[in-house]
Amino acid sequence: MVNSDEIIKQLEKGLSSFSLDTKLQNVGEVQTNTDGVIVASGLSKAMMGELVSFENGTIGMVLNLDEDNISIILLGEGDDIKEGDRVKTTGRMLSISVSEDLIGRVIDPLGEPLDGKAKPRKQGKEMSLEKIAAGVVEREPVNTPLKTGIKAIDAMFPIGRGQRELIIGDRGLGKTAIAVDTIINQKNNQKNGGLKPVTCVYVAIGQKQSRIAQIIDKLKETEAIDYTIVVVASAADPASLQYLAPYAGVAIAEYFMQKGEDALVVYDDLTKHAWAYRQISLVLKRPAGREAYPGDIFYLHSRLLERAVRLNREEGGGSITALPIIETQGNDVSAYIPTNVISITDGQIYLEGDLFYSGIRPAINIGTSVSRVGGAAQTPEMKSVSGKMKLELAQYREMASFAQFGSELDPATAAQLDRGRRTTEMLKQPQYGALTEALEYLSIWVVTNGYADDVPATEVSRFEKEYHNFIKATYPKIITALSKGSKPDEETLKQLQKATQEFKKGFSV
Amino acid sequence: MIKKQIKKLAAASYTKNQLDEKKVKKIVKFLSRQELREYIKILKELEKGKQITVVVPHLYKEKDIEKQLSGVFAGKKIVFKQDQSLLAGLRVENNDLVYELSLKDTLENLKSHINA
Repeated sequence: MVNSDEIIKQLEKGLSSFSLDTKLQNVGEVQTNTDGVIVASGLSKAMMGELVSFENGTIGMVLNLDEDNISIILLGEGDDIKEGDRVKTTGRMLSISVSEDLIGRVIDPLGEPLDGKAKPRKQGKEMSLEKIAAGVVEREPVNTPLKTGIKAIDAMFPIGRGQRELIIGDRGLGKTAIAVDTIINQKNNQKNGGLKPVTCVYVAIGQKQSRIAQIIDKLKETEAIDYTIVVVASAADPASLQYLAPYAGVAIAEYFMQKGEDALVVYDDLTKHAWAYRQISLVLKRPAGREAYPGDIFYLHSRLLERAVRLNREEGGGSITALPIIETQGNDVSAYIPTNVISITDGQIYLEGDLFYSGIRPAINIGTSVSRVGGAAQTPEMKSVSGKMKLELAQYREMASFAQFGSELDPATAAQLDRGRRTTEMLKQPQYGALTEALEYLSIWVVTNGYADDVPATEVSRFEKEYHNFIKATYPKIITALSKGSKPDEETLKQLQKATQEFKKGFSV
Repeated sequence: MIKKQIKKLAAASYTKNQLDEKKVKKIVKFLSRQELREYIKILKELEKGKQITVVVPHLYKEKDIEKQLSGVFAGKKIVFKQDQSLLAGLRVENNDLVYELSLKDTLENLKSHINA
């Protein structure tokens, strides 16, 4: 039972912050209500981006200030708002209340829970949705890896904390899979220590509710939800909410960054975000540009992705890593939105249909994918083994196009082709099959050092699996040594060679 | 005729801060139906700008209130309106600026403050 004294105490506490000052209100009158956009007269003191409230309790955001009227986008139900209704300013900008209680929850961009549980009781910190990104002085170069658990990415296109790495490709090629795998893989940080744990924010923009439900279920099943916040603006939500969702996501991440923690935000996907903003702009009668997108579509994404940051030590050392996703149509990366976002981000992971359907999954195109942060975001351990593999793969690609002519190949070339084929096989990885860095190292090391050369290409994945299990079971010391992240010493490598030879004796094709 | 020109006409319809009937009659002759609608709308807005509405729960001591407010809003006409739901205090409406000094508003703010 709740004590009555406690109730009174709480009331007193609440009342102490209540001000009796007279309020100057700025009011206006609704003129038109079309497609979620209200045009109102009056409101001469309204600011750009300010929240306004209607008689029925719905709130809206000011997006256009004209000579004698203003345009407001609705952030809720607006069917019963009619001409002549009163609108008043609130003096507030859009913000979201963030606290630790939000972790594990599914919310909409305004902070309202969508998972059927009660709203967090604790009043969190109000984080502004629109904020200017941290300046040059507060930043530090990206220098800590954010491990995805995917061999191909961690070895060749490493993602650092504070980086913005675009995932781009046609629909159904596993873009979301890479992002979700990355979120799930952050559990290793939570458990093993070493690197700082990462709080994840998954922002679903304009997606089907059934797909969102699937992803949430997967996060729950893998217990990744324990450090993840899901922000949802589904295809059924108004365009205004879809437009705000990524900003809400980054505002949440900024709360954790300001505490000196590391955060990861996944924007799934920014193509639909651009669509939502295009819709809003067109009903606001802003001039349309290329592909009917408004003139500030570049700024829409650049100001969002600029908020991904690695702060220096004086600022607390927190970071926000951004993984935006862009869906292309028919492999066309030169469309408007893809080129925009490619130029904003620090690299891209390009997924290709041909690779996907020929069984190479994740279907990462090694030639066009890039990470502009590169080796700075790798541990010395991974760096020591990935360099050779990258070189071999590049040579393999060159060679493979020649080899198609079917002429006789000299033994050296044939060997290189064989190695390349096996390396490609080794980089295949099933969904939800994230590996720790030690196991990633083992896979890459074993193939680049030629131990898999006599294994048929079709058997490489079985070889890898059994090899991992063998080392884990018989030589746990090697795994411990490789988990440190520093370059393996001579002794470990010697032991590894011995162990591998021993395993190969027992491995039958 | 564009809106700007109609606005100019509306502003010209005044002599010494008073709407001039003669001028208005002259102007109206030259306007089409649609332009007339716009003209009336602008005139209404102009009239509204010259006026202060004071909403009070009871018509009581209006002269005192008027005397005080006329000092603050010089040159504006003060109109009184009665609305018992305000309970006590008053509300001053100056075009799109509203000064809330009523008990009803304070209670409502208190309610939402506690619920938040």
